[in-house]
Amino acid sequence: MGLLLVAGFAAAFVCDTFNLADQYLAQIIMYIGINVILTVSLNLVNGYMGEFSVGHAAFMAVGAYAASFFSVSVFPQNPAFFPLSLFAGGICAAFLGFMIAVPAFRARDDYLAIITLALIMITKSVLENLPWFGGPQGYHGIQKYTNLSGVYLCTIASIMVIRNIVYSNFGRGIIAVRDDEVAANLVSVDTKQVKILAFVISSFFAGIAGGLFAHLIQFINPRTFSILKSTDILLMLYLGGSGTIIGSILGAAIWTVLIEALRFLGIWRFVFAPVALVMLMIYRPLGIMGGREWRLFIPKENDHGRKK
Amino acid sequence: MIMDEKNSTKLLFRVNGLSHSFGGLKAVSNFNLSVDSGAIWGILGPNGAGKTTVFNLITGVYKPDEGEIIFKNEYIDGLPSPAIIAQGIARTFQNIRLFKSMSVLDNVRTAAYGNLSYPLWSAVFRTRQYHNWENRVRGSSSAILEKFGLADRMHEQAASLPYGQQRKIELARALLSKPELLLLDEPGAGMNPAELHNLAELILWVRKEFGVTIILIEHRMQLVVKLCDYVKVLDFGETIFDGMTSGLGQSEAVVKAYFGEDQADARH
Amino acid sequence: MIVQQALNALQLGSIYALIALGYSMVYGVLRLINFAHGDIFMIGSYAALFLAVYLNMPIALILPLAFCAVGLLGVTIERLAYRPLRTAPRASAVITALGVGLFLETITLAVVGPEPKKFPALIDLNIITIGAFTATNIQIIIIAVSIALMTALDRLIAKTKTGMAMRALSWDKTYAPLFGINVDKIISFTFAIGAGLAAVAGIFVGLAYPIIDPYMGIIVGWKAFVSAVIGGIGNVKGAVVGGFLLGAVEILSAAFLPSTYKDMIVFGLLLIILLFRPSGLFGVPVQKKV
Repeated sequence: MGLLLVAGFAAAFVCDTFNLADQYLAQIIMYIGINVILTVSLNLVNGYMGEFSVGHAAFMAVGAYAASFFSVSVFPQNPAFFPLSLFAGGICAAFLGFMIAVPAFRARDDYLAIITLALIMITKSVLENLPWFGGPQGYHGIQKYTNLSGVYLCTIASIMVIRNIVYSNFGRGIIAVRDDEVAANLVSVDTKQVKILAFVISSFFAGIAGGLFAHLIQFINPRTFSILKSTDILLMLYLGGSGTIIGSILGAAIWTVLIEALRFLGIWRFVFAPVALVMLMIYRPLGIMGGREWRLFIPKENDHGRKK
Repeated sequence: MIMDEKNSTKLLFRVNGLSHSFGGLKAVSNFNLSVDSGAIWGILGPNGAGKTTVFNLITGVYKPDEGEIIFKNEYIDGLPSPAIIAQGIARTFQNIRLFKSMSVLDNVRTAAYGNLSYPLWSAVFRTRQYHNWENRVRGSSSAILEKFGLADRMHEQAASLPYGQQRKIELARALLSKPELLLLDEPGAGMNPAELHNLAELILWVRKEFGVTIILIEHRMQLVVKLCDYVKVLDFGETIFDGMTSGLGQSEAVVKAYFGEDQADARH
Repeated sequence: MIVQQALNALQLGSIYALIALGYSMVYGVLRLINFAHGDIFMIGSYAALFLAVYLNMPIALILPLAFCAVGLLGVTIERLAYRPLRTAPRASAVITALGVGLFLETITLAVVGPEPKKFPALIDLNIITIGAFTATNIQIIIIAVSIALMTALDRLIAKTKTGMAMRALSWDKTYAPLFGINVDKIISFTFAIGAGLAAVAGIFVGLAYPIIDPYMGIIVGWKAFVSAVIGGIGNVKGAVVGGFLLGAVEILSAAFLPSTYKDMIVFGLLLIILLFRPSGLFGVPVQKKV
């Protein structure tokens, strides 16, 4: 397994250095990677923890704008500093996640959905009104620092981190919140802490994905991160099946490829996609994977070959 | 009849003047209880007498309107639930509340969350500290499951096990944190007389094996008489009896409430 | 000037309130945030446009026809998409609602194209002046008809058997059927009324701000949703108060700030209200059950 991961990185690295991959193909693969990061991280909150956040686009926006700001205005114009800019973007998104999580997890179930919805609208409006980031016209002058190996590393890292958290004491706390929050509290799980933690981690990776995204398309504006972006991520998550890592990966990959492959249908592909989604929810509410995890994503010490 | 607190040298838990109401409806009013270490107490009363509310107040699910709760000489009323649990109180639920999607083992070891001793990054990077702690918790969880005879079903999904075993999982989960006080909310709910008999044996065994003090809620006389050293009988929010179980039969109020007016009259 | 602004606020508030009612009623009976509702409102606008331009109908016919047609659309959506999911995990239902909304948006986009359309002047604009007081007849009509509809709805919920059943259903889903309430029928009825009112709001938007496009449902819909939440979602009176409140806040902020701040103010208001009253102005706080 470790060997395979290294080989994957080597392949990505070689493609980057010698410009081997077809431009279009490389672009699609990078989109898939970014979407996997978004979906896997949203999965932590919406899947494993069973809450319903629609705010991922906002965290992505903050990550994208902050990372761009750092790479354009703070650090020297050099790809060597890109990881730092990315990280700074992630931290900014995580901080916003923390600010939102503290009041958001106070009351009933739909509360988080409503607050994160407001967050998207406010973030977009703030970005439009801040003079430093180009307002509604968008942020220009971003270099193309995102490449295959960068996306590869970030994607693998986010999958590993989230897997390791899910299969740990924290992860059991997160799943306990989903299964029975009151009981969780009464067997010593500090549910308040668990929720904030999961939300902050989820926001961090959304921020990383935003930074990668900004340095891939090199131009961002507030409209890029509207509610429709969040809807896309939600669709990918529930398409693959929430609560499993393989579901997130499949959902992101299938959705991204499908939207590209059906390009010849023009606008109609966006008509069929939601219909397919509704059908999926009705006939297979747990998504393509139906709640089953791949053995690959279960740590050895937790794998007892049981059917879940 | 009422226990003399001053003579008690090993008082573990005390509730003074506990009251709580839901939007004008008084669920618990002026509830008092003193529990010595090692005892089994029963709280007996009809449905709706506010018994579960008492447990919810003790474990911090609701904040009491009035009254104080003292555990091991410290006030615990008003603390958040996880903090109360960390002090050494554990409970079960009337309608079993397991984490349905988790395995039996995961259900039990989730209860170790409170004494967590590794930071998040330790989990992320799978450090030695992580492995040590997880191995220890895994060991103690399987040891408890072993005692309950559930070791071979450890990796099955908890919700797929039969009712009786789910009760045991809930008990094992509660006992993992090594509580000193165990609150059992109608442990015999939905059981037939034969099962009730086994349950009584199980609870006595739990007291011996784990050295816990137990308060249990029941609405049936049978289990209480069999198990409890002391009993408190509630009727419409009022305490009508409080003392040694052996004194139950002598209490007119209890006989009246449980066997009807006729029997109470017939005794005279 | 102040009177004019007040009228503007009332007009905008009426529109928000009409849409918010649909969010709130559906939430009441199904505990579902019907994310497609904003797009149903948009369909209402286009339906009216179609009836007016292609069938040359007058407004007096368009209003009831659009109400019924879009009401039927609401019932159909519930029947096909939401009903099979009533016992499914909540997330599936919400995702389905998002999907239905997206479908309505994109199919409109595909059929009529993305460019904004001019809504026909169904009513000749007259300016009424009484002393210093000026208003347009359109404003008066919108406000009057909206208030009439809301009063009718209030009477319906308070006085009729169907209304009583709706209230029973939002009070307790499990036991309502035991009292002989036909749950499916009540839910269909709720969707019909909610969608119908949204269609009326769609027509009013066409009359008052005569440019419509397939995306109009998103932002107006979300704001109406905010109205419902501010008022206390599930509460019909709350939806109306929330709608008027939001209309007032928006007109007020537009008078003093650049229009780009509008969304920030509206959604900021939502956050502040939720911070202090998590169940909205008229909502009942939920007591957790153990």
